[in-house]
Amino acid sequence: MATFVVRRLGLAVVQLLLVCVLVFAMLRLIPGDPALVILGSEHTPAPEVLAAVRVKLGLNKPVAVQFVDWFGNLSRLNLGKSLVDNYPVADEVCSRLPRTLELVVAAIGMASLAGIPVGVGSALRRNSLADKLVSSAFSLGLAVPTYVIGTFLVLVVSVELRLLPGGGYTPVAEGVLRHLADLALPVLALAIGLAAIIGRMTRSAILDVVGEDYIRTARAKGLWPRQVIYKHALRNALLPIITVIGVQFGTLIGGTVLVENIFNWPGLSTLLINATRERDYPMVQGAVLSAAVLVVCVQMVVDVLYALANPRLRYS
Amino acid sequence: MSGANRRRFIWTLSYLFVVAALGLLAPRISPHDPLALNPDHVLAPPSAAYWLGTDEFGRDILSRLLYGIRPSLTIAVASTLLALAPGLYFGVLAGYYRGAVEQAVMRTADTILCFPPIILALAVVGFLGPSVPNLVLVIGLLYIPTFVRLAYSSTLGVMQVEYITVAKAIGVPNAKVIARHVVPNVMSPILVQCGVTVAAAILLESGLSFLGLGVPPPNPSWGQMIGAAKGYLAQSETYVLWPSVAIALTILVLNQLTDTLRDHLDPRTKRAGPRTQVPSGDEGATRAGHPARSAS
Repeated sequence: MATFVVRRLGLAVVQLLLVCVLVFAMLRLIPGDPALVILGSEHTPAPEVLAAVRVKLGLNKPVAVQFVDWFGNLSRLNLGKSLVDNYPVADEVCSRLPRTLELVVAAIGMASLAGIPVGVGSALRRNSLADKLVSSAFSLGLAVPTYVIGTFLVLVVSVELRLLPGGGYTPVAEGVLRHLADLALPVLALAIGLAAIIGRMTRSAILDVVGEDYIRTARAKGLWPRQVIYKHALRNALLPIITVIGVQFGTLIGGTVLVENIFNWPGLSTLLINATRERDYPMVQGAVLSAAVLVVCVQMVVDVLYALANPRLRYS
Repeated sequence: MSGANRRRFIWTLSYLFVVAALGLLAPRISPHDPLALNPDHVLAPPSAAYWLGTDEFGRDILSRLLYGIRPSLTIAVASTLLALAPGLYFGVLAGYYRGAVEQAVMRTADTILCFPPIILALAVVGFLGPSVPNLVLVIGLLYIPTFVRLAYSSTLGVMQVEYITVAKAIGVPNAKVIARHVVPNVMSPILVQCGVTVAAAILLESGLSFLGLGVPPPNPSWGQMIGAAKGYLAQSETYVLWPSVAIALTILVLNQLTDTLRDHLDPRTKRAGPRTQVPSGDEGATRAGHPARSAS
């Protein structure tokens, strides 16, 4: 197990380094003068402005020096300063990251709470009317884009029914209930699609294990059906479910781009969108980098959890 | 193909054919000019003149929906083709030659897969400037790694088969082994992945357009129409409805089509729902072949 963890950690470190290299290269891969690209091409900027941007981003130095500087700064968690207001990018990212994580974690929780029981029930009543309805609902949940779900939630719940606010953010310090009210709709928008994925996976995972010998044994020795399902079948079916949640994590971070925009949630993605509109390159770079780092870390944690749960994997 | 599968295959393909035809024929069949402003009929409800009503500038929603098919399908198909060729090429090479090629190709693909596509697309399109060719380029590049991973893992499977060993042993040149024996055998999952990628590309493009960073206005696209309608939810409920239904239905049909193809081409998955994919130590392989999910 220790070997597996060390190897997986090593892989994660390599991936993190490559992610940093790619983020560094991003600007240079876009054709044209990087400083001009950053400032936009609608009107040619004054030479002084161009020179100032070059100095500020270190673009006046040779690429090799820029590269060393970039990694030196990264190792001190220095992501540079905003081109707009000179605010340190790392501070801004750190203040917004928890809000995005809150959305994602709450959505995973909500989707699991809904998707797993429905998936189990649907598998146990295989080919019944209920199973078919649930399967159709899952297909629909997979097909409707997150931003359409979000927009309709605003339309129905906040514009028509006036039940919950259609957007905004209240810090926990200013009222837990108001915070939760603001949280509900964006989390729901993210969770519906994920619940469909988790539900589908649960259904097929349960169907995969119910044919196994140990399930028959458990039944034969007279355990309650409920015990057989939840203690024996579901526990084994959880492995692919954990995997699918891990794989979907990146997609969820992507989904927050649209959901945060709809609900005015001041997270990482809103930062990214605003920074892109303002052509604030260091801020964009910081937001993209932190999203990717988050994905790398979560994938590592999921793999380790998976190995903990499934001994066969540790020696592959 | 079983009866139910064949029926599903036919109706999904017919739907896509009709949508493509509507998009192609948009200039002939649209009742109005999709860009014509009409200040007298702003946010009008459906009527005889405007079947689906009008938007915030009095433009005909039906005509805009029809014209909106064009950028969505163009971008989706073009970017999938753009991703397919290099993805297949590098994936097969990595799986066939292993060693240094494998490491270089797969580590690069893994790195790109660490970035949620919409985030990378947003950053790049934001600086390149939104336009249809730029969207094709960015979305196409973003989906290369998925094809690489799939072609790679399928090639590894094919390499286990004896006839490859035999072909190599009797001295068939590598290029010929790849072209004659490897590529034809990895094409089934790749074909399914094409369907998944088209759906994912439509979602990604429409998501960017929703944010105003996709198809540049005033040209219509479905995502952009939903984005605009979001500001007028209280004034007109039907405005947001039409493009939403159009996009959800298209993705639903594409997902059905890829499920049907998967069932047909891969005998191991002949059952309802996706196969339970247990990761085999190399993670990203499990991503391939999942139905497309919002801007994934």
